[in-house]
Amino acid sequence: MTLLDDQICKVPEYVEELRSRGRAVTVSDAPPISVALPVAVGKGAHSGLVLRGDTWLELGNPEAGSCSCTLFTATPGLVRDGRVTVIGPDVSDACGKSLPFGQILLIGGDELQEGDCELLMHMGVIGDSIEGYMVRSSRQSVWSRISRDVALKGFTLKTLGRALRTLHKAGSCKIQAMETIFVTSSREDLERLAEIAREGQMITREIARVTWKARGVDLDCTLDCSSCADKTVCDDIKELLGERVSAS
Amino acid sequence: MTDQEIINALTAEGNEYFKALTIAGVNDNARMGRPFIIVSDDALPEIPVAMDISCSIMTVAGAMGTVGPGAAERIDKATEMGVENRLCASVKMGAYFLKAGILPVPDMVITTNSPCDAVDMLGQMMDNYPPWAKVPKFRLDAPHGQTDEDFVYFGAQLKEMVQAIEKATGKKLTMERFVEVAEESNRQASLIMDFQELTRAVPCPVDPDMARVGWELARWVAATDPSVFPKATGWLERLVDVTERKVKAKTGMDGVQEKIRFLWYDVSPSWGSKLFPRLRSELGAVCMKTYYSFHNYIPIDTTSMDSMLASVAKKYLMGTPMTRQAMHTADVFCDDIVRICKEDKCDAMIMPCHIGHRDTNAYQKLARDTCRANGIPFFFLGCDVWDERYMPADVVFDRLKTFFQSTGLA
Repeated sequence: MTLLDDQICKVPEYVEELRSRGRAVTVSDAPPISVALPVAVGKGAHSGLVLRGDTWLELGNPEAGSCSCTLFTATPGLVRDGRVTVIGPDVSDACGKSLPFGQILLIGGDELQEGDCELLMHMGVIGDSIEGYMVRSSRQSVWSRISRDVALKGFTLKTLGRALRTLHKAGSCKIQAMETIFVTSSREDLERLAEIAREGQMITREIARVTWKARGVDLDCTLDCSSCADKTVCDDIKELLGERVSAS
Repeated sequence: MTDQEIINALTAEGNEYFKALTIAGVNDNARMGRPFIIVSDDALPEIPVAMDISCSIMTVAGAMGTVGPGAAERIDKATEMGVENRLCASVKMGAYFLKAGILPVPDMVITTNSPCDAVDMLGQMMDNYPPWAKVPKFRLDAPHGQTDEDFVYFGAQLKEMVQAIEKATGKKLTMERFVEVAEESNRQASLIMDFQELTRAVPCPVDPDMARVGWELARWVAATDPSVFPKATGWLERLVDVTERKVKAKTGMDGVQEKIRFLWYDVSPSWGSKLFPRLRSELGAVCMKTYYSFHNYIPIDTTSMDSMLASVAKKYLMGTPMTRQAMHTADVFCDDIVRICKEDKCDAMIMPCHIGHRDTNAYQKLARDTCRANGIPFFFLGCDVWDERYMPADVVFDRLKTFFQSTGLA
C-alpha cells in the first residue's frame, strides 16, 4: 500500500457514479506500445503550437472548467495498463467546441517510490511531444488544443491516452502500467474529480515537503507570527528600523 | 507597414509610456487631477483603474532610476545614505528618492511585505517618512502560501484596502465598473498567453521580452493612468497579430540566425540592451524568458465582489513576477524552470543571481540540481541587474559565450 492508493481506488467509484447518472462512458484498451500511433510522439514531434485558427477542439479552458491529477502506486495491479476511459463527447463530436476537461493519470510500478513523485509530475509537461496537441497550461489543470489536421487524421482521446502512456513509459523504466481517464461531459462532473485531485495534491505536497527536506530545504514554515518563536526578534528589528527612519 | 516596422512602433510606444514610471512621471501623476497614491510594490491595476485613481510604484520608479545618464552617481548617492551596500539598487534608489525629498505628497500610501524583505523595509521607510506623516496609510500583508485560504485571506485585505482608499480619496469601487475592468484584465492576460505560446515557434518570431513590455503596460503604466488600460489591450492585440503572422510565415527575429534558446531566470537587467541583442546577433542565442516575460493565466472570477477580490489576490500572489519566485516555495521555483525549459524548448538555463536577490542566491544549488536531473545545462552568473559596474555586459557576454561553447551549444 502506498500513499495515493486510496485516491486511486476512488477513481473507479467516480467513473461508476457518472455512468449511473447517464453519462456516456467509453472504455477501450490500447494495443501494445509497439503498435504505431496515428500521430508522431516524442521530443520535437511537432512545433509545439496549435494556432487558434487551426484548432479543432479546445479542452479545459478556465471558463469551461478543468481539473487534472496524476496518481501513482507501487501496486501495479490497481492500474489497468493501456486502458483509456472517456466520459463525455470525444474529439470527432466536438469540432469548433470548447469542452470542460478532466484528466486522471493512474501510474503503477513495483519500484515506484515517493521520491519519483517530482519526476512523474514533470512528465506531465508535454511541450512539443505530441503532434497536433498543444498544452496551454498544465498546473493542477490541463488547458489544451487539438489541431484540425490531426483530428481529421483520426486523433481521439484514446490516441491522447496512448500518447501520454508512450511518453511516460519512455520517461521512466519504473512505470509498468498506466491508465487514463478523460472527462469532457460537464463542469459539474469535474467537481467530484476535483475533490479526489485535491486529496492527491495534499499528499503529493507532503511528499514534496519530505523530498525537499531531505535536500535541506524546509517547505513547511507557516510564517505565522502568532506562533513563531522569532516573533520578538522580528518585532525588535521593526521597532529599531522605525526609530532609525524616524530619526533620519 | 512591414512586420518589423510594427514591432519597432510597438517598442517605441512602450518606451514612451514607460516615462510615466520614472521619478519625473511620479511627480506628473501627482498633478493629473485625480486622487494620487504611492505604493511600495505592484499596484494591482484592476482596483485603481476601476476607481479612476493614479498609483505610482516606488520600487519601479527606483528601478527606472538605475537607467540612463547619471545612473551610477544616483546609485552611489543612495549607497552613501548608509543603506547596506548589496541592497537591491531599485529599492536603494527608492529609499534615495525619499531621502532626497523629491517625491510629491500623495493622497494615500499603500505598502506591502511583498515581494521581498528589501521592499518590506522600503515600505516601512514610507510609512515613517516625516513629510507624509499625515497621509493616510494602509499596509498589506501578503501570505507566503498558495492555497485558496491564502487567496481569500489576501482578498479580505484588499477589501479593507478598497474601503481605506474610498475613505482617503472619496472615490467608490462599483461592482459594475470592477467587472468591466476585470474582464478587460482577463482579455489582456489571455493575449499575453497567446503571445507567449507563439514565441515557442522555432525560429522564435519576436523577442519574447515583449511579453514583459505588454505586462508592464497593462499593469504598471495603467495603474498610473487608467486611460492607458484599454490602450494596453490594443497594444497586445497588435503584438499577437504580428507575431501570429510571423509564425505562419515561419520567419524569425530580424537579423537573427537562431541556434540557442535559453532561460534567464531573474529580472531582465537594466543594461540588457547591451547584452541580449549581441547574444542574438553574434551567437544566435535567444533569451526565451525572464521573470517578467513569464506569465501564467490566472483569470479573475467576476461572479461576486468577494470572488473578484480573492482572484485578484491569487493573480497578485501567484502571477506577479518576483512575488511568484520570491514568496513561494522552492518547489514552485524549480518546477517553473522545468516547465519553461520544456515548453519554450530552452537549451540552457542561466541563473543570473542578481546580487540583491538573496533568495535566488540561496536557491542556486537547488536550481542546479533540478536542471541536472532534467538534462538542462545550467550556468550561475552572479551579477547586478541594476548596476552594470558590478559585472559589465561585455564580461557577462564572454562568460555566456564560454558556457555555450563548452556545452557544445555554440
